[in-house]
Amino acid sequence: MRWLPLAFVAALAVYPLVFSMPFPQHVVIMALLFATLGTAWNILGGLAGQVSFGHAMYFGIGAYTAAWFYKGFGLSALVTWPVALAFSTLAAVVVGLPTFRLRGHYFVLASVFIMQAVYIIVSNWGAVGAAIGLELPVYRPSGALDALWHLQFHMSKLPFYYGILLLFVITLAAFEWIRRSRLGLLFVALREEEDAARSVGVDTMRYKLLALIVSAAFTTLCGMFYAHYVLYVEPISTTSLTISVEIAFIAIFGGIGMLWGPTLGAFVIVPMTELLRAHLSGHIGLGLAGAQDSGIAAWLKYLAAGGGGQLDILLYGLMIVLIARYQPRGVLGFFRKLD
Amino acid sequence: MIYAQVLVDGLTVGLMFALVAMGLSLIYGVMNIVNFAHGEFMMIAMYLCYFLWSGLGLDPIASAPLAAVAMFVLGIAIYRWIARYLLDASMVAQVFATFGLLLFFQALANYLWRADARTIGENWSTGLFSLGGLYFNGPELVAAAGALITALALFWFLNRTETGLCLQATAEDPQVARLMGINTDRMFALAWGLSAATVGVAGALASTYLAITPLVGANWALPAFVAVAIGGFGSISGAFWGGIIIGLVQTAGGFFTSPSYKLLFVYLLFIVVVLVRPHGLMGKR
Repeated sequence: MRWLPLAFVAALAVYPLVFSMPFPQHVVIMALLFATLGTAWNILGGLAGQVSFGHAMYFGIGAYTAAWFYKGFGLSALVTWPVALAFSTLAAVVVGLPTFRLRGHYFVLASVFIMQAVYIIVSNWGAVGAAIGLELPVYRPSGALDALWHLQFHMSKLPFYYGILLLFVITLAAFEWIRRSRLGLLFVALREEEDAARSVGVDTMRYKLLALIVSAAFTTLCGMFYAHYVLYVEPISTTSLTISVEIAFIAIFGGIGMLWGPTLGAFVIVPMTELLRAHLSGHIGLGLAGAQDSGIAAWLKYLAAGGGGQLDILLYGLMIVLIARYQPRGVLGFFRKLD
Repeated sequence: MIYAQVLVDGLTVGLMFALVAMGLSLIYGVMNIVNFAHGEFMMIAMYLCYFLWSGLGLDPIASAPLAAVAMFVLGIAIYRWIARYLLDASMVAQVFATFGLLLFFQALANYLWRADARTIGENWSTGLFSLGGLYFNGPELVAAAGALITALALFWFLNRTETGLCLQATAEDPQVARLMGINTDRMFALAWGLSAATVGVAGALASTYLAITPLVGANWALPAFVAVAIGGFGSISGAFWGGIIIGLVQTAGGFFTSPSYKLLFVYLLFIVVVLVRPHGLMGKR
């Protein structure tokens, strides 16, 4: 089984050469993005046991920093990533210092409310485009180096594909390195017996902050990738509670605290929602205005055609409930127990 | 005078928050579960009242008891199928199960009825009147009065009936309650039913003046969590007063800054309360 991870990464590297159409490549790019986000979340939520529903804040910090500097100064994430990491570290300390004193439900709810507060502020903040968001100007690069400098590759998705694959592998390696190090043992001690860890002299606040800063840094880099990939940043798809829950759920679906848990979660959930969305988006509302008020046959036809939309979220919500109800350790929990 | 108006408006909306928060606190007190899908019961009750009004011409206030019964049944169903299996589960599983329910019900409403806002037209509570220089919106005032009556009924039930006392005993210590011959499984189911029924009444009352969308419940349930924290997790009377405080804070915050920021103050209040007074105003321990 040791060769399985290597074979998986090798298959991912070959995949876009076999599937050259944009849509199959896009699906795997999004799956890799969420696998990376879930793995980053897993450092804090899985190893250190601090279940956060606020990680979209750091995703948003990355996305907005990339968009704002590129729009204003033409500087891409290749140059601005240290600035974004400084912002995310600052935010992690400001959020972590008060909330890491809380436990259980209180911590979860605090992360939810800080997320909501950030969402309200961003959607009303004129300098970052408020609810409309920021568009990254499209640029016509003069050559390969110029394209790389601007991170704009219009003819091909391959640079983005290999870019996110690299970030994914680095994040996985970081997770595994932390898990096997002394630091990982300290994180697990926080998760399992916080009081005992404190009683033997572990500075619990310091290690929780460290876990958050590392986790937030990778999440921020994902946000920067997203901004350059989509060329458009707005609050709902970057810094909302929905995205926070999606990040956390992807880790929990596969198996919280396990190296390959978030990856499994992302490669099941992201293709499912992307395919369902692509399949249904062509059908919704086709000549069906007011259909729900005129007879059962019309109503059934309307539902079969995708109804009012969000069938993907409906299935996704149902999966969350079923996983929590039947297999709270995640899908990998079927195969082995949490170590 | 304008400050008196802010006070009146805050109290009116506060009574509604109080009713929503009491149901939330009931489940937390009895089962130690944070129910993120609480607002979705309210949303479903609002759609129910809308369709009873558009289909049968029933006034939303008259459908309030129907909404209560329907949500009572739905609450018990959710307990039977899902929540009872979460009693011994980890906190992460509990949080995700109820959050999944929130997403499921919101998406289901979207799928069935689309995202467009529906509003109930004129009904018997419609009207704006003034008294002593203060303005009152009929539907909101009726809703506040209805919320107060429902809250008092819930207090009466919990403190003056034997079943209510059994429910409180279960909240205090399920194991001891079981030793005393109380069927705690039935009490848990009752807590879910009552919680959903009371927030269903809140939905019926709010359906006369709010635009009905799949997301409408979340805007009430999330601030209600803050009310529950202010009152102390699990304290029903604490949740009631917490709801009133939330109403006042939200209205005053919106008045002094901008309405789009009104919830910001409520959410930040949560952080302050849990840090300064983690057990709330009336919480246990």
